Parts: sequence; structure tokens; C-alpha cells
Amino acid sequence: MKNNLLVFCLIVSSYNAFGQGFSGKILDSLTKEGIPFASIMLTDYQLGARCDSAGNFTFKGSFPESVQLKASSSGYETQFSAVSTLSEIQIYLNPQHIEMHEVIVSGARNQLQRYNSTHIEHRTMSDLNVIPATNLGQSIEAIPGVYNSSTGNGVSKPVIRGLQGVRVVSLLNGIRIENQQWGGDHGMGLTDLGIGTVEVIKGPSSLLYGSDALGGVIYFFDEAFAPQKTHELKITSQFETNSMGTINSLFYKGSIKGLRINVGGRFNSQADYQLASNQFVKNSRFQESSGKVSLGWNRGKWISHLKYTYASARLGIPGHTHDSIISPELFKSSERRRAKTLPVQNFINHILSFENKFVFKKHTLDLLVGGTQNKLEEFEEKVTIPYLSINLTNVLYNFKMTSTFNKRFSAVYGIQGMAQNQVNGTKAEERLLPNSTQFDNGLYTNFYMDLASWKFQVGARADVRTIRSSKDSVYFPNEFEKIFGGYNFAIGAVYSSKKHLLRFNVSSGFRVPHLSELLSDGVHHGTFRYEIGNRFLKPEKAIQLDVSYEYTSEHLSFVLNPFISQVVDYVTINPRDSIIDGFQVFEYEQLSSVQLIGLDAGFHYHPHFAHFLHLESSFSYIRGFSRANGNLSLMPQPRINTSIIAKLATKSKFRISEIVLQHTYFLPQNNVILFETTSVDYSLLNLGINFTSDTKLPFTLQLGVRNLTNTNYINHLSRLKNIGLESPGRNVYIKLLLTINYHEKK
Amino acid sequence: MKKSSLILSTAAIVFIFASCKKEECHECHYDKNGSEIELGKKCGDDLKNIEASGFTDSGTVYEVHCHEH
Repeated sequence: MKNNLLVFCLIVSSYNAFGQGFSGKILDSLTKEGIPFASIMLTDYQLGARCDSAGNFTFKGSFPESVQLKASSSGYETQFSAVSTLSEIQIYLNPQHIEMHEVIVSGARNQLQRYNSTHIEHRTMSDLNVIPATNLGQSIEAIPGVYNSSTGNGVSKPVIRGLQGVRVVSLLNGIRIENQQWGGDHGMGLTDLGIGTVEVIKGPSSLLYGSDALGGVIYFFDEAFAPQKTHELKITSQFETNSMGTINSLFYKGSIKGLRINVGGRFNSQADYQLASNQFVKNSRFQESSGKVSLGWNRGKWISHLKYTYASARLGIPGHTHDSIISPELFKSSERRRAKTLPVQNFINHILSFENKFVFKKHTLDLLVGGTQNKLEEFEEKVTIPYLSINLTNVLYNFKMTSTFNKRFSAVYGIQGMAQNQVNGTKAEERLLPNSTQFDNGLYTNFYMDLASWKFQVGARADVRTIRSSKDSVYFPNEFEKIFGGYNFAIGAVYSSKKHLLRFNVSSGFRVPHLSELLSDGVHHGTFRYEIGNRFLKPEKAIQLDVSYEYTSEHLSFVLNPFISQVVDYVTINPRDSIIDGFQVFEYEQLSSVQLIGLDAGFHYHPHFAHFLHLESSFSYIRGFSRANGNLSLMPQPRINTSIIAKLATKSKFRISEIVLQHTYFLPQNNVILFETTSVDYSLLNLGINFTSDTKLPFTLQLGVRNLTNTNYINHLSRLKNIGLESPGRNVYIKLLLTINYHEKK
Repeated sequence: MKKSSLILSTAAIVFIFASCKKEECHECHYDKNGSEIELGKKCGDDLKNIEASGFTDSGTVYEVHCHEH
């Protein structure tokens, strides 16, 4: 008993041993003076603060001896380092007009981009929405190498380096988003509510994310919590003329003593969109609702985050017909409508994550558990009886240890897995997939070596996926059970000097065939075809060589990122010369080997004579082909994105803060397969003017036009391309963001 | 302040998520001898039943459609 009491006292006293906060200063490395109002962030805690006018900052509460701090300020290079909380902290920032390197969280360990051997794209949602988008897919399309496969305005699927659907893994706060990505008409299942940053890993990423991450990974990360003793309420309202769309959201962030909370909701309602010809696309209307609650707290070495996201949508499916002779005019109307009609796709997603992190002197233990639930219903001919209804429940874990052995060597190792249960709704008229379960387990490790200007990284991983499906008397007469295994690796190096950065990375990936590819046997109305799976498909295996060179000077930066990858046993779906239930039959098969080669390049120029001006341009190119079979289908059009941003800093309280002109040129796509049509080139021009008010009630007003020239176009990846349905015409938008801040008195 | 923050955020959540669950109604019809026979507006359970069971006309059960194409 005495021993227990002693242990208890030691635990209590150990908590008290942690300091009641720490403070420090952020300084200019040249002048040695404090940087006024610089930003400082405790990355593991997702907790930020703003320095005072002298560059001083304070964090109150119980923290371990060492914490990771990110310090940044406009016009300076971001710094990220582990610092001791036992003494006053001083962080020096180097002047830099062009921000190139942010802290990356989607890699195995948090680190500055310049020390990562893989080129990971990092964007804040506010940067992506400098001209607001109608949906999340449109927002991330601005990232080089990322495209959007759309079905009208409502459904957008991310495409990375030419691959999409089940070959792209999307994560929210470390939890895989499962939204039946196998379906061409099934979107991301998420909105931008409360999302702070997006990171994109291009190419095979199985080392960190297991099976399926063959094309790449899109990692969404929630906004940071409010600074300590601060409350913030954001009210956002957006209106678009093209689809008479309204997007309204409310988001509260509060930091009260040790507890931090983010909570909010968003509603998006869009009517049928308007074409450049002024006609409307029938049933392109949609509605989305989403909500989010995030809680964070910490005590000593323990940091905990509990996050829940809800997203639901009612998505009209445009371009639907039973006619054998199709004319685009069938799908157009002179009247815009918003009311529910058929066919329609409804989904409800719940995403829950619970992360507990324990920060020791040389080790960090990260325990992440979570789950997702997805209910998808497609209504085809009846309003109350779904044609297709699927419930997918997913439970995930990722237990990870980061160890720093000394200044040169560190490692990340862990176990990761998930259990899925897929059940068809009993009311549905059709079943495309059988009821099934799936279990994933993986073991991985990553080693890092830091040698002055060179950093090396090597990692390996082993995975096992078990798929079991049950039979039923009508649709699936046979059971299915199979165990798939995968071994993957990644090896990379990065050389980094003040102006030059060179990366080499070789990574592998694998993808176990999806149930839809193995066992489909039915009509998929979203794709207008009868799909037949192949239960003898083998896992796809990929290997990629990715090289990137970056040059950064005070006013100019550019990046060249060529890559080549090979996918063995590539799964594809091809038409057959037969009709079942009035639909053409498509069957899954495998190509022995396909190659993907491409280039992402870009530059950012910030002229010395006009410091308010930023000229940015990027070029994305991808070519996919099989030596035996020729081109791969649905490869994106090469694209050049150019934007000119004028950031104006006048002293008036209500002022124009930014003027943005964006030009996107899509080159023609002539590399197509048999029966796939080519696409012509086109240009899109967007213009935005952002106003800022620094009154007692600060607000931002965004006003502008997307597709300013009212271009009539069809993107090669649009699912409405085959029926000749164009994308939206000119779209005038107005967006108001009102922020109410309250700082508690000390 | 704490109380007002709590009230404000609660009000915000209620505002966002509060909605009246309206009974769904649709104009229904069935196709007979190449022409559409209107059945009028059907709501709630009536709508569910007529879509599930169809409409019987002169001993023949016809599939009922309750949406525009």
C-alpha cells in the first residue's frame, strides 16, 4: 500500500515537474530585432499563437522538456525545430520573399519540406480558395499534378499523376476516407469545412499508407485550434450566379485553459448549372451538409485529439437516359431547377479519429484509432426504393513510434491496419457487390540519416489483406475468400543548400484488386454499363523514380519534377460485344505492364521593383501507355496554370488586399484508346478581387468571376464528355467572411 | 464570456442543423399503351406503397413512376 502511495505521489509530482508554460522571442537573423506579430505554432498540439509587437510569445500550461515549434512570418523562411522549454527560447528567421518550404505532416515524421526526400505539395485552403470554388475537388485542382474527374458540379474525384478512384487514397487527420471510390460517379465524400491544409504525395506511397496508394495520397488536415485564451467565430457566406448556389458556414474555435475546441457546420445548395450557351444542364443540382467537432487537450507528455466529421449529400446525376441514340440536347433545358429529381445519389459519411501522442525526450509514441461509416444510396427509377444501397463501416488503427537516436540518426516504425464490413441495404433493387469483410494489417519502418547538406531515408513495409465475401441466393452464388500480401520499400536522398535542392526517391506501391473488380456482376447505373468482375485478378505492383530540383533565391524560385513509374498487372475494364439487361457488358482484366511518365514544373517570380506582385506558373504533363496495348485511357490533358497576384498593403481600414488573375490552358489530349474520343485545347480565365476590412468587426469580401470569357469547354476527364455535355459557363461569385475574435484578459 | 461563447456556438450548431423533416410528395404516373396515365400527387406512405406495389388497372399491375426524367 505504501509503495502504491509512493508511486501515486511520484506521478503527481512528475506532472508538477513540467513547467507551467514557456516563453520566447522570434527575431530577424540579420537585424537581431524581434519580428512583430510573427506566428508560432506547437505542431504536435495544433496550437498556435501570435507574437506581440516585439516578437515575444508565451504558452501557458503543462509541457514536456522538448517541443516542436514552427515559427513563420510573412517575408521570412519558415523555421521548424525541436526546442527546450526549460529556458527562454530564441528563434531566428531568415528573410525570404518567396515561401517554398512548409512543415509536412503527411510524411512519416513532421519536418520541413526541404529535408524530405519526396516532393510533397503543401497548400493552405485559404491559398487554394483565393478564388473560391464550388466544391473541394475544384479547390485542389490548382495543385500541380492534381486533376479533377467530375460529373457535373456535384461529383468530383481527385486524379493524381493520371490515376484515380481506388488508386488514390484520401485521408482526413490520418483516417482513410472510404466513400466507395471504385465508382466513377462517387466523389470524395468531404467538404472543405474546417480544413486548414492539404498535402499531396504523388506516386506510389504504400510505405506509409499501405495498399491502394498507387497514384498518390491526398491528406487533409484540420485547421489549427485557436490561440490560448482566444475565441473566434467565423461566418462565411458565398453566392454563385452560374448555379444560383449558396454556401453558408459557421465555425467556432475556442481555447479555454487546457481544452481546445473547434465546432462548425456548413450547407451548400446548388441548382442546375448554366452552360456558355445559357442553357442549363438537367439534374446537375446538388446539396451538401457537413459538420465538424474537434477537441484537443494536453497534460505533460500527453497530447490528445478527438475529431468527428459529418458529411452528407444529395447529388443529381446529369446525363441520364435510356435512349439508344444520344444527343446532348436531351440533357439540356431552358429552365433552371433545384428540386429533387431522379436519378440521384445520396451519401452520409461519419469520420471519427482519436489520437493520443506521448512525447518523451527522444521518442514520440503516436496512437491513432478511428472509424468511418459510409451509407451510399442510388435512386434510379423510384423515389422511395433505392436501386443500389451499400453500408460500409471501417475501423482503423495506426500505432507509430518516432525515435531520435542522436543528431544524425532517427527512425519511424509502427503497425497500421483496418477492418471493413460492407453490407448491402435490404430495400435495394440491385446488388453490384456482395456483402463482405476486409482486414488489413501492415508493419513498417523508416530510417533517416542526416549528414550536413545530405539527408537519406530508407524504409520497408509488409502488408496482408484478407477479403471474404458471402454468397446470396440471387446475385452472388459463390463465396469468395483470398489473402493478398505486399512488400514495399522506399529509398530517397535530398541535398539541400541555401539556393539549391535536389531530391531522388524510388518508391514502390501495391494495390489489392477491389471487390468491384473481383466480384461485380450487375448494372452500375452511375456508369451506364453492366460490369463483370474477375476473381482471379492479382495485386497491382508499382515502382516509381521521382527526381526534383528546386532553385530558390530572394525573388525567384522554380521547381522541375520529372518522374517515371511502372505498374505491373494493371487492372482495366474493357467493353465486350454483348448486352445484358439493355446495358453493354464491361469486364475487368489485367495488362501485364504499363508505364506512366511525366513532369511537374513551376516557377514563382516576385519582382524586386514591385514587391506586391507575385507571378506563379506551373506545368503538368502525364503520359500513360502499355508497350503491348498502346495508350491508357482517361489520361489528363497537359495543363499550364498561371496566376498573377497583386498583394496590396494600403493603410485604409477598408481596402483591396488582393487582385488575382488566373489563367489555365489545357493542351489537347490526343493520346487515347480505341472508342475514347480526343479532347481539344481550351483556356479558362478567372479574376478575383479581395477586400479586407480591419474595423472592430473584421471581414473579408471576395468578388470575382470564374470562366470570365464564358468559354464553352469539356475537360477530357469529365464523365459527361461522352455525351457531349459541356462544363459551366461564366460564374460570378461573391463571398463574405466575417470573423469575430475575443481574447480573454490575462 | 464562457457562457456567451457556449450559447453562441450552440445557437450556431442549432441554426446549421435544424431543419423540418418535410413529407416527400411527388406526381406519379404509369405508362399504358404508349401514353402516361396521371395518378396525381402521392406523399409519404402512399408514395412508398404505390412505388413498391405498382398500380392495378383492369387486372394488370403497372409499374408507377413518380419523378420527372
